[in-house]
Amino acid sequence: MAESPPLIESLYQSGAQALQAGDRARARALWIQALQQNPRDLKLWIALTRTCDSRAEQLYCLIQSRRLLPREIMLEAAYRRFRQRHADVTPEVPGWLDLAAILSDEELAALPPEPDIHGPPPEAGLSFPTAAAQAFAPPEERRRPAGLLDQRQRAERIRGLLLIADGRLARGDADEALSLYLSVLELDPANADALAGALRLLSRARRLEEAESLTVRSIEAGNQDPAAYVSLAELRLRTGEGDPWEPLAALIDLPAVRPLHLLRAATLYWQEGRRKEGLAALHAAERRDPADQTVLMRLADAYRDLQHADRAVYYLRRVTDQGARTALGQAAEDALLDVAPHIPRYIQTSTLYALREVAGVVLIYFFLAVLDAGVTLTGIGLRGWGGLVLSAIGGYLAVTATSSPAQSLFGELRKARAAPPIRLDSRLREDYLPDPVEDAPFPILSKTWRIALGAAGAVILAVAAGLVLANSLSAARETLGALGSGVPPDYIHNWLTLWFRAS
Amino acid sequence: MYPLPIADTTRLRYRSMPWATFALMALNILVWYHIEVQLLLHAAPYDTPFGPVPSQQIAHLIYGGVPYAIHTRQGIGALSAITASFVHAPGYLFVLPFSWHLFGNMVFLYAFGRRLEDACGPVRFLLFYLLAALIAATASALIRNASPVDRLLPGIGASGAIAGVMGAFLLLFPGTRITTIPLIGFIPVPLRFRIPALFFLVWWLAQQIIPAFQTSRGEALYTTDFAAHLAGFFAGLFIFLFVRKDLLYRYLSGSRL
Repeated sequence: MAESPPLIESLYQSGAQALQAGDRARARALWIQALQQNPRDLKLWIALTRTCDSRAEQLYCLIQSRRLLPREIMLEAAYRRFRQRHADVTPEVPGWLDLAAILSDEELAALPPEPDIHGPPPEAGLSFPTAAAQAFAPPEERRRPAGLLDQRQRAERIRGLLLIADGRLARGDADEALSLYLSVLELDPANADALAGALRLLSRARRLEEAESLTVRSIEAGNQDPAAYVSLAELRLRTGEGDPWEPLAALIDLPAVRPLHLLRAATLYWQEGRRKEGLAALHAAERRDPADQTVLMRLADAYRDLQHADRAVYYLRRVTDQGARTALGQAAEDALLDVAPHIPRYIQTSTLYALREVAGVVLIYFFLAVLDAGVTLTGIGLRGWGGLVLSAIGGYLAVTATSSPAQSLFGELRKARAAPPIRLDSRLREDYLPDPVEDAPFPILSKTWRIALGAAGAVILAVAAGLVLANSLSAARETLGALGSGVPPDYIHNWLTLWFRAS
Repeated sequence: MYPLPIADTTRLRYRSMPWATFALMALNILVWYHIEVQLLLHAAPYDTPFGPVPSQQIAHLIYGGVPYAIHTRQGIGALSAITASFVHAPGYLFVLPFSWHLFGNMVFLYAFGRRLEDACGPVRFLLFYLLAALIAATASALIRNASPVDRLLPGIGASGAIAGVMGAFLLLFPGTRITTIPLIGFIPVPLRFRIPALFFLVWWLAQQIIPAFQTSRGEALYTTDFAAHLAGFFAGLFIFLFVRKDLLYRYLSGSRL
């Protein structure tokens, strides 16, 4: 009985182990053996390039594999990247690779001609489908691969493939799902859903370079999903290859961009110390949705990071205005305590809050009056009660002048200026910051009024103290006068008499 | 062993320097030094029909809150409720110019007062401190008047007002922890323990209730004015009249201060 050929996967794994052990020749032999069983296995071709002895040999392998797999986007991406990085390399046939040993005669004859590799390398930059870049966009036939299916059939097939792929993914079959997503991208490279799915799986498998190439191709084919742009920037930042800021710069102009994408972009900018661009992205998000608490909170955090407390306060207040009881609202409240005292406008203008402080003042006078009357209420007398009324009036004036000058009760006196707008601290001013934002003004008593009310309040409070403490002040004058003359006051005699009797 | 509170563990939010707390501490120390050191050492005693009485003791009788004097509107009357909170017991002068009474009160004031001042602002904190002192003095004058001996004793010390600070602290910051060092007798042990403020203050309050009750019935005579402590502690309720507007707003909306 004839021995069945080893499975391709087992050959691939053995080759990988051999390569890991440093036995490149054995890995090469195993993978060629596997290719003889399936010459169109992309994974094997990619692996084979890792066993090459030189860049020239690698290029040759890539060229031959592209001829065999002309619609394989991964291979295409790998080839483009190779040519961009090593533009001066010319292919060299490796002594160990014989296509005739891998392919049948028919297959060899059906191969397309070898490309002209001496031409210019593929362009390094991206052509984004923004208004400014439309003129340089790739031609339509390059964007979308010519297929045998008409548009409707293709759309249906794509929908079906995506459904199956999502189902496979839900079942945990990531490889199959990835393969299906890639199939969709072959049919429609600009398909955002397929790209998102493929990117998620490729990133999870740490196949970042493939993910990056896939995204570039998708964007070039017209994918305007903002998530693709952000993903491309993230991938480039992670791999260190390519310009990560190019897609983020284009992101802001995309019609479908949402605050979520701009927040991700801002995070990337901020992490890399590009604060100007980060702030621009955050403000773009704010323009898109001025009521988004997350965006406002991020702006507050950004300004706190930049030590612009005034602006941070402004945005934190806006967060709380959108809902103080949400998680972000609570966080903003906490942050406000750290950044600056925060008094909501309705409390600033509240007369009730002012009267609360007046009650404190009156209570002090009340206890003084009670003690002055010999710890009785009935002994307070008319003068004492009059003092208490005056303490309420004086206290109110003093409180209005000091801690509550913005009460709405003083509507007629509001000719004074509004609360000052938020100003930038000149020490921290940076040219890229936008113009200062102004807090909504509310009426506040002028300085003159405050001084006048404060002085009147102080005088009235002093008079009230005199009335409330009339007995005590009189007794104190007598007692201290006696002490000053070196004679103990009568009170001491009385006390000593009682003390000796009691003891 | 007694845990002595030295600070609460949360940082101050609005200002780094609690000026009013420090001013109160400084004033207490200065008054104590003047009465307990200068008057005792340098002032001539007063001649009375019962013999010479040291000036320092006369000062205690006049400036301390004597219930008898307050009830009969003698001495300096109601003003003694304020002055009494700045008078403290003498130390062991000839051994060490140090008063445990003053030291203990000042440590408590420092531990709890700074945070409260931060929550009120210095002026409102001083007003609250004054109100707590007045309430404590009123309660002390009422309760101690029941005892024929206690009504003649001066009630001195800032503890009534400081008890108010502690009560207010418990209301505003019940979830915080305070750093304490254990005292064995009068000897501090170089260890630090963080105790929940709620536990410490409720434990402290519990210690005041029975003696204050006994005092009110004239059943016992204590050298500590437990009635003033208890009344002062409950005066902490009035902190809501003095706390900053923004904090009151946060408190009413159920936020953490």
